[in-house]
Amino acid sequence: MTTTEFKHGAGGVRDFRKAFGQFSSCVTQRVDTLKPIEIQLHSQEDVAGGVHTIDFDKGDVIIKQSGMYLILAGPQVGKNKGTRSRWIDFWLRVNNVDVPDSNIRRVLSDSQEKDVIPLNAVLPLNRGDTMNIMMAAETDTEGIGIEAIEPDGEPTIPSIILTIVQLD
Amino acid sequence: MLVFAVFFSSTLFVHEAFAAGTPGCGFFEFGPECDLSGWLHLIIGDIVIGALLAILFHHLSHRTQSKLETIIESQEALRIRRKDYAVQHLKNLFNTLLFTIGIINKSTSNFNAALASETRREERLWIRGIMLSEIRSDEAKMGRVLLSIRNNLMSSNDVLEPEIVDQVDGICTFIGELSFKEHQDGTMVYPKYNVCKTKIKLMIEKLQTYTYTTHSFQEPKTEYSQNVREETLKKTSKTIKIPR
Repeated sequence: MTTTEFKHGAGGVRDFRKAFGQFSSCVTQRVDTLKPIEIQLHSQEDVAGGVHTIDFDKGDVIIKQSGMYLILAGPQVGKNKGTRSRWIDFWLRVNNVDVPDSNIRRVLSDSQEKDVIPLNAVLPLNRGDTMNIMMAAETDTEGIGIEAIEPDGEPTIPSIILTIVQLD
Repeated sequence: MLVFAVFFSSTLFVHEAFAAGTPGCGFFEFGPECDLSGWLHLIIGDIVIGALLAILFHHLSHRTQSKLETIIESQEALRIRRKDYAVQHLKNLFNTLLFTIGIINKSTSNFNAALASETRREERLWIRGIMLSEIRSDEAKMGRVLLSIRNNLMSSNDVLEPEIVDQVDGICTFIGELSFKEHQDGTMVYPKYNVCKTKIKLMIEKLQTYTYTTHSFQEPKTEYSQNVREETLKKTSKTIKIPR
């Protein structure tokens, strides 16, 4: 097992034997095609002094340590027009192959409806594996997707928050 | 055990077993006029024969054991040879794959550059045709390399660690699922080139930790990025402002 060392606080050194990462996107991403699309990630929290034990490139989360991982994703769903009920699905994809039994669905009726739906999984991942959060919607004309919201006087609500923790 | 204990203790009370073979002779006395006593019968008859049989069986089992050890040693040597070869071959194949993907990416940039060049239309079409055929041939080469990697994996999955097998299989699946994307303006892009490169490099790093002395992999030193990542993508749409 790899041990990650980094400077912590006033010169102290802490060891981390397990990989972890928190990713988010403050960009609204709407479905503009009927094909599945990858959710893009735009920032990684600099917890633990900015050491990234899991990396990312756009929508691809790249694993650097083999192990069992807990994956928790919370996309902030919504749509910007239309009053018909429309579904939106989210699931995981590892190495360009969809993960079975990871799909979840939310039905949105109008543009005022906003919700965060939890997507969770425990997966064995190897060094070099890439993971994506995928989404697909019933229609590409009603602006269904994940929305970043900027309320006044509050922090921005990201369109997705993704947390990954190595378990073993 | 109980039966044996009863049998053994009962013999202690049978006086004939202790008696000398002939009156006037000792228990362990040899002589022409003395019959063997019960104890000497036991020692000479049962124990000596038992010892001889034990030596014979030990010899036979030792011979079988040494034969088995020879077979196991030769199988182990064969396994190590196969593992060494598989790792070396995988390392070469992944280096070739990295090189081929790099060429494909470069050819794609050249193809897109040719599209935007100021040359005559016929010349541009000719250049594009040539480059497209080059890209296709490189793509076919990459397919062959991936196939070789998979074949190697299939033949040596019994000698390689399961983690390595999974990792190699993951990379092959990932790259195998990718294909060129053509945009509406005619430009082409090889998707996720950087991710492919990273994955292959991580794999090569792991393969390079293989030592021929212990015939095992070490944990590679992973370089963790420590910089605050800037947003690499332009925002496709603005965030929604919700007033209080």
